[in-house]
Amino acid sequence: MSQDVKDDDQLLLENLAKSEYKYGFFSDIEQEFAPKGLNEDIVRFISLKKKEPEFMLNWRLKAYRHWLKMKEPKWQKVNFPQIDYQDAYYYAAPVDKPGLKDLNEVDPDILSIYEKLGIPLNEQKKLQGIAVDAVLDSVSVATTFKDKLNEAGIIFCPISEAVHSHPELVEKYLGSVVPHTDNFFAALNSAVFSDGSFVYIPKGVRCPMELSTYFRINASNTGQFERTLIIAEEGSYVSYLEGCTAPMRDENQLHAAVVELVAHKNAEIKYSTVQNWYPGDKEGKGGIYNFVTKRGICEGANSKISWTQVETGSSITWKYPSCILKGDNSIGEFYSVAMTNNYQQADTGTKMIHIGKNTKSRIVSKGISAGFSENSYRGLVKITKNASKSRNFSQCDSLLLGDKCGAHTFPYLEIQNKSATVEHEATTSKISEDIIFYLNQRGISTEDAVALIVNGYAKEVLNQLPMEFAVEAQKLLAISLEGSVG
Amino acid sequence: MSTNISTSEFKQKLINQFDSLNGLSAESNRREALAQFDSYGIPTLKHEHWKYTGLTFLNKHNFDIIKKSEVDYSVMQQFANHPLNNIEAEKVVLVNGFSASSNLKSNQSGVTISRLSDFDDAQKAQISDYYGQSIKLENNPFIALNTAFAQDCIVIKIDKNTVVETPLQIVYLNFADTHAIINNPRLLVIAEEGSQATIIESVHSFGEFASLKNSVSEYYVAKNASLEHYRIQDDSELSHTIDFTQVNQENDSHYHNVNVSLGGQFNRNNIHTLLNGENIESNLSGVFITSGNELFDIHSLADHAFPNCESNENYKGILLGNSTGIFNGKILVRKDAQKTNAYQSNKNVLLSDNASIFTKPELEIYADDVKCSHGATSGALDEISIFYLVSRGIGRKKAEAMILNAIADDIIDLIKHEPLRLHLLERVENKLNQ
Amino acid sequence: MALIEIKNLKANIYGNEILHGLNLTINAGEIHAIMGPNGSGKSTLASVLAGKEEFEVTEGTVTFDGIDLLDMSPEDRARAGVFLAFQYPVEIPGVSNANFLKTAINEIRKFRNQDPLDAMDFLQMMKERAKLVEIESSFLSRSVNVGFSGGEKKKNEIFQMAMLEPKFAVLDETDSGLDIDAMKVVANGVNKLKTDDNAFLIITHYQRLLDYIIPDFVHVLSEGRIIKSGGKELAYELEERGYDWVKAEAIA
Repeated sequence: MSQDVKDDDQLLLENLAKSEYKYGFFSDIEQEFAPKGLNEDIVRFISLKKKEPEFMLNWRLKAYRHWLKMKEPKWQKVNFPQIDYQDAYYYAAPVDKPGLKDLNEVDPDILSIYEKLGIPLNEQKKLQGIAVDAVLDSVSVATTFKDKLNEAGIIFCPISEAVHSHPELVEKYLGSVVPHTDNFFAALNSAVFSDGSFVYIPKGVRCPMELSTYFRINASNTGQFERTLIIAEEGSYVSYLEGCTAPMRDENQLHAAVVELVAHKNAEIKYSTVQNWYPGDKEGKGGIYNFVTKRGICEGANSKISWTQVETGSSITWKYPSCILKGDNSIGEFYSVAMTNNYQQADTGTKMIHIGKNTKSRIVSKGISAGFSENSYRGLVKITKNASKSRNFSQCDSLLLGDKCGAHTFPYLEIQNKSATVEHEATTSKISEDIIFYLNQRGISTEDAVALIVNGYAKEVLNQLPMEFAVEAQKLLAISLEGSVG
Repeated sequence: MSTNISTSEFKQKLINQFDSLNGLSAESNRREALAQFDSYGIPTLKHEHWKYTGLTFLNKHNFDIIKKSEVDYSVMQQFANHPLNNIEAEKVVLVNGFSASSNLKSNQSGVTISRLSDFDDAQKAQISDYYGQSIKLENNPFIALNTAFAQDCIVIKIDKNTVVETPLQIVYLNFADTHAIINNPRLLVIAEEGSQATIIESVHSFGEFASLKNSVSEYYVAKNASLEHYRIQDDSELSHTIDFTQVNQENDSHYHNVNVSLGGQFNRNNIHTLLNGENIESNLSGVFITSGNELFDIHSLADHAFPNCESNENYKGILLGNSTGIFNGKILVRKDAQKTNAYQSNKNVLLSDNASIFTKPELEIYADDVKCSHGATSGALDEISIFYLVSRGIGRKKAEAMILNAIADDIIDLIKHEPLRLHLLERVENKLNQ
Repeated sequence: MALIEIKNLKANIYGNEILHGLNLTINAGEIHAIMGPNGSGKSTLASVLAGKEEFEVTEGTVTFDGIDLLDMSPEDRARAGVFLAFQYPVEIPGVSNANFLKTAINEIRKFRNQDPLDAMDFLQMMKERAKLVEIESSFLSRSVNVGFSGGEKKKNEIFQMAMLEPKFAVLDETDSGLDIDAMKVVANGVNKLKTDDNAFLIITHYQRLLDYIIPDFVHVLSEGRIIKSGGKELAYELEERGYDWVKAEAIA
């Protein structure tokens, strides 16, 4: 009981800044850009800028050439105007200060951006128990607790650094889970990604703290292409968190990230996201187009990958964090809350590909639509021929707040093994008037009642998040709900 | 017997046959349909609605579209002793979509059964609000194909407030004795206000060659009318079906469809209901048992356009051998359809290592005051139930058969026509005991 | 001064008039019981007092503590001190009892210009009041009413009442579906919470709850009106003789 009282959700509701998107500030820092547009020279420019070894340049060019042959996917239930891929910058970075050795040398202007976001990076103030990689406009600007992690043999650094310090790991794993041919946005990312986080947990190591990357878009007119790669060797464990914000702008900005996870035998990766990119204004103007490919492979037996996401931001969300359950007895999980309001559109879900025997997956998806938004769950559960005794359970619920929004469920179940058990359930409903009245009768206003009910509805997913993120996620849900109760 | 031709060759072959046919629809309508068929082409696995339903059989059998003049009605003799010819019902027997007789009078008052090809202009005008009005040619290549090539249509009209005592049975006989054929039957059923009827459709294939029944049926269920509709297919490995059934319902109407499929090489059923009024009840249910290399596919849509309606969908599959089952059910609740209750369930049992089931239950919802849910499951037989039966002294094989029977019977019991129900229960038992 | 004064109250649901001009005055420090056959309007009265939207008041007034109750939103009525123990308490998945009550109490305190209760004081209060209705503390971290038995739900209503300290509480058939032990717990709770400053309206079908909560007045509600009022002995008479004689008397 005391747990519940201490982690009192309601205090959070009260503390809510009754403001709109509060991360919408823009910081004027010195930045350099690649010329606008995309061609092979830009790809070469990025690779050169990063002083990459030749295998990287070749890899990027292969992806770029393949991308040219691909078309934007059309099957998702979202509408947006044609994106002009030549009308954006593919590289923006804070001007490089050579020989940056530690955090004390990081541009104080950049540190102040993160401080404003509640992510202090400097030694005195840094968050306890969480190592942070701060990525500004796709370039890693600082990583905390590096030394402590190094002692345990853990590598946590910008991927641009890993390309130099651990090229053998990057070459082996980059694109091994999400090949450049996978989809339009993954191909684009492979060609032009500028940075992201790299994590390597050696055999038998349990990562002593949460690892976190905090993504911030700052520059305007810039596409964002980060790449994250996490490798958990045999018997290791890591919990990784990802947060993101962007300035408020009238234009739409493209964010096309790729995340790859590899879990070897007996390893476990827990990946949590609180996605709060700028969602656009009340009229649907501006906001981030979030086209993200996230996939993990449970390579070894008894490995586990767990995705948790709270999606409240972005004008369009297109993402399907997936698990390939290759190792026998491996486990995949997907817990998601997707909240859309105003004119936001979300088409999100997961894929669970059962290949190994006795593999298990669990999908819990909670969609909340308000305003004029469209919110779709799209998921695939595939049981291949040899995945004997595999099991899946999926629960996909949708909550509608208002009669101008839509809630949709598109599950695909493909079963090719007779000993597998697959169960899928979905419901769509609104909040019961009786519950609202009950809460009103106890003195709680309708708006607070809705926030309380929505948080209760999302609880099963929020419970999967580490405490600090759960707190953040609850606040976000309540903020996103604002104006949805008429 | 089988020469493979490419999909585009096959399409062109059909298009080339267009001019030699006397089509049923107006020439302009037929031409438009042909153009739609031509532009869409034969669907591939890349088309969302055909993602799991490969149409390679079309290239294998050298199909020709059958002409009215070629129809050999002698096959009716072969059907005479079929059990489904002997259940109590008023029958309309069609051979490759054509009726031998122009005199199709019903023995029941208030019921008219006729061939559209016999209609004069005045009669045609009377059905102009119905014939072809509930379906769309765009993005429906097989409806377009049917519309371009259909040479006749059976029209059934049930007058206002008529209670039809004896069920009406439409018997589709596919007959391919000299070469592989495609027939394009067409059915129009108009149940007027306050009427009640039961309609049975059954499909039977004969001959040495493959047949494809590419049928389109339109059902109009008027205000306060009540229609029971049973579709039975218990057919051979030469039988292929692509069927599209559109049901339009008005205020306070009831429609109940039971689809029982126990055999047939390729069986694609599309059943779309439009709940075009208030207080409508619409129930779709079905069971399929597939074996060998059979494929059964049901694509359903419950389209809620008005408030206060209820729809239920309940489909079950039992899969053996190398067979494939596909279920794609969609509940669409439009903006104004508040207070909708819609429920959908799809349960499957795989009995073979080589059988596959692909299921996609969809919800697309634009109104908030609704209760909608769906569930889909797939698995082996429930071991706990089997153990319970075995522990009471029942042999394992028998116990499994009992449980499988119970799954199928659950749907078959929804058939209110007793002779048909009893026949199907027996057929299922025999089939599952094999 | 009367704590609550209901005058000529007429109310309907979907155009169907249920209360046909009801009069009732309750003073602080009193317990009133309303009895009556099914369909007489007992639960409608409870719903109208709490402000349930489906019910439309067409005539009459309800004055609570000197103010017009019917003019207030449901949450403001609750904040002003009106409490309804629901006949069918709803289940709220994912929302813990503790969180729910903390929210409610602090909303009420805010309304009364009081500072919010801090976590420690709240916890202390919760433990103390939980004892009153003999509930386990594990119960407090469970979702509101989810998976509760009928008896637990009713105890939870009384527990909430103990926490929110209303001035005027309406118990809508709280005894229905309770076994004798649970009923004693409920009654005991009410008796302990009773002061000279608050009042209770017990709506019940049977006299047996009134063995444990002794009412000052008993009213018979029939066809949307109070047709007879008396002391606690009236409840026994109704139990023994049914309602027909009261109706007959009222007509005569």
